[in-house]
Amino acid sequence: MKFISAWIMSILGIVVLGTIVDLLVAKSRLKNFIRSVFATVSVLIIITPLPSIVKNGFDVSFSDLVGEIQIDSDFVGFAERQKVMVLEKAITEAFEQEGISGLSVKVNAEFDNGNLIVKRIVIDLSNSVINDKLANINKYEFIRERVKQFTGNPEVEIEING
Amino acid sequence: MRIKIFAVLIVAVAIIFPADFYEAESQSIKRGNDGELTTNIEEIADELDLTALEEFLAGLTEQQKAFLGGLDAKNFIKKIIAGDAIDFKMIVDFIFSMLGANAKTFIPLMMALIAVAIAFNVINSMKGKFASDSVESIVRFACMGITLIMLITQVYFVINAAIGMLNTLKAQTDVIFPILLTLMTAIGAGASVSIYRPAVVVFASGMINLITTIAIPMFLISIVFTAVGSLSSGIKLKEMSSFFSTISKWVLNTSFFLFTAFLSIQGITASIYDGISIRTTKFALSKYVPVIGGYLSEGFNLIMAGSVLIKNSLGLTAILILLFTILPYVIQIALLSLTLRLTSAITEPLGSTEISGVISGFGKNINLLTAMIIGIGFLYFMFILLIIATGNLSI
Repeated sequence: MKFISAWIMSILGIVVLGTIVDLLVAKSRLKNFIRSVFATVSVLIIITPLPSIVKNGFDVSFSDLVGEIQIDSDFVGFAERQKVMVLEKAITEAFEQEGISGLSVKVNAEFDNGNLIVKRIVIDLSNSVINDKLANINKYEFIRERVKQFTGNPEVEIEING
Repeated sequence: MRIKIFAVLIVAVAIIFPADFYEAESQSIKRGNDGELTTNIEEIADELDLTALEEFLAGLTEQQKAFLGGLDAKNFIKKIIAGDAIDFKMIVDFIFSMLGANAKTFIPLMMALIAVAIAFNVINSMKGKFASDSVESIVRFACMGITLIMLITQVYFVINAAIGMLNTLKAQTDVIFPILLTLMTAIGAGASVSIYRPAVVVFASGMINLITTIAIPMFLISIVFTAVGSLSSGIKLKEMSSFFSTISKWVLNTSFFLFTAFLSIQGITASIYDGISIRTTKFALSKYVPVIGGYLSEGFNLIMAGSVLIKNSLGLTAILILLFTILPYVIQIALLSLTLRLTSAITEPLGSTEISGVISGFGKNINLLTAMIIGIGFLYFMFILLIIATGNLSI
C-alpha cells in the first residue's frame, strides 16, 4: 500500500506541477513543448512500477490464511455423551421389558465420524429386581446374550457386577 | 448470466433443503416428542459456548442491538426457534432512519459542489469583459481543485468505513462459523465440516484480504486517475482510470464466482452425502438392531433435531447480524452515488460540463465499492445458507 501511495502521489505531483506551469506560461511554442515534456514525464512515472512487476511478479501475501477454525470438542463430547445416554436408557428399558428392573448400565463407546461404536458395557445388578419367570436361568449368560443382541455387536466386551 | 446461476443455486438450496428440514422437524414434533425436544434444545443451548458471540454482540451499537430485542445470543436463538424473532417493522424503520441520517450528511456536500459550479459559471461568463483566458484557466483549476478535494475527502471516508465494515464481517465470521461447524460435527455432518472448515478460512482471510489488498487499492487508483485526469487539460488519464477499474471488477467477479461455485457444488454434494450416510446408519439401527433399534433411532433423531434447530437459528441470527452490519454502508454509498449523480445533473445546465463530468465520474466509480460490499455480503449469506441447509436431510 505504501508503494501504491507513493506512486499515486508522484503522478498527482507531476500533473499538478504540469498544470501550474501550463497556467503560468503564455501561449507559445514553448508552452506546447513544456506540455509534451510533462506528458512524457507523467507516462514515465505511470510505467515506473511495470519493470519490477514483470521481474518480481505481483506478490499479495495472505499472512493469516493459515489460521484454523477450532471445533469446540467439549460440546461435541456432550453431544456424544447424549447418544451414549440414549443407548444406556434403551438397554435399561429393554431389560425392564424382559423382566430385570433396577439395573445400572454404563456404556463405554467411541465415535467415528458421528457413528457410535460400543467398546465395553458395564452392568451393575446390585440394585436390580429379577422377575420370577427368570428365576431358573443363568442371569449372567442371559444378560450377556441380550446385550450382544441389543447392540448388534457380538464382539462387545461386557462386564457384569453384583 | 452469473447472477442467474447464483439465483438458481440460492433458490434450489433455500427451497429444497429447508422444506425437507421443516417437514422433518414437524414430523419429529408430531411424534409426540415436543416436550423432550424443548428440553433437549434447552440443554444444548446451555452447553454451547457462546461467549465469543456474546462479546461480539456487546460491541454492537444500540440501534443494532435493538434488532435482537435486547436479548443475549442464547435467548435470541431460543426466540427464533419459537418462531417470533424477526420484526420486519424494525428493519424497515432501520432502513428509513439510515436513509434520513445519510441524506442529512450529504446535503451540505451537494450544496458546496453546486456553489463551486455556480462560481465557476459566473466567472466564466465574465470572460472577455473583465477576465482573460489565463484567468479563466486559473479559476477552472481552482474550482476543479476544490471540487476534487471535497469529492476525494468524501470517498476517503467511505472507503475507510467500508474497510471497517469488512473487518467487522471478518470478526463476525471468526465468531459465528466455529459454533456452526461445532454443531455440524455434533450432528455427524463430517464431510460437510471438512469442506467448510478450510472454506471459512479462505472466506475470512482470502476473500476479505483480496478486497482490502487488491480491489480497494485498484478502486482508489481508478478514482485518483479520474481526479488527476480531470485536473489537467494536457494530461489525459481517463483510460488509465478505466483500466484499473476494470482490473478491480475482474478480480472481484472472478474470485466471487469461483468461490461461490466451488462452495455451492462441494457444499451441496457433501451435505447430501452426510444426509444419506446418517439416514443409512439410522435405517441400519432400526432394522438390524433388535428390540432397541427403533428406540435408539428415535432417540438419536431427537438429539440431532435439537442441534439442527439451534444450528439453523444461529444461522438466521448470523444473517440478521450481517444485514444490520452491511446495510448502513450500502445505504451510505448508494446515497452518496445518487447525491453525486443528482449534483452532476444540477450542475450540467450551469455550463460547467467539466465539473459536472468529474462529479458524475465519481458517482459511477463509487458504485464499484457498493458492488464489493454487496458481493462479500452475498458470499457470507450464501455460506450461511449452505450451512443452514446441511444436516437437515439427516432428520
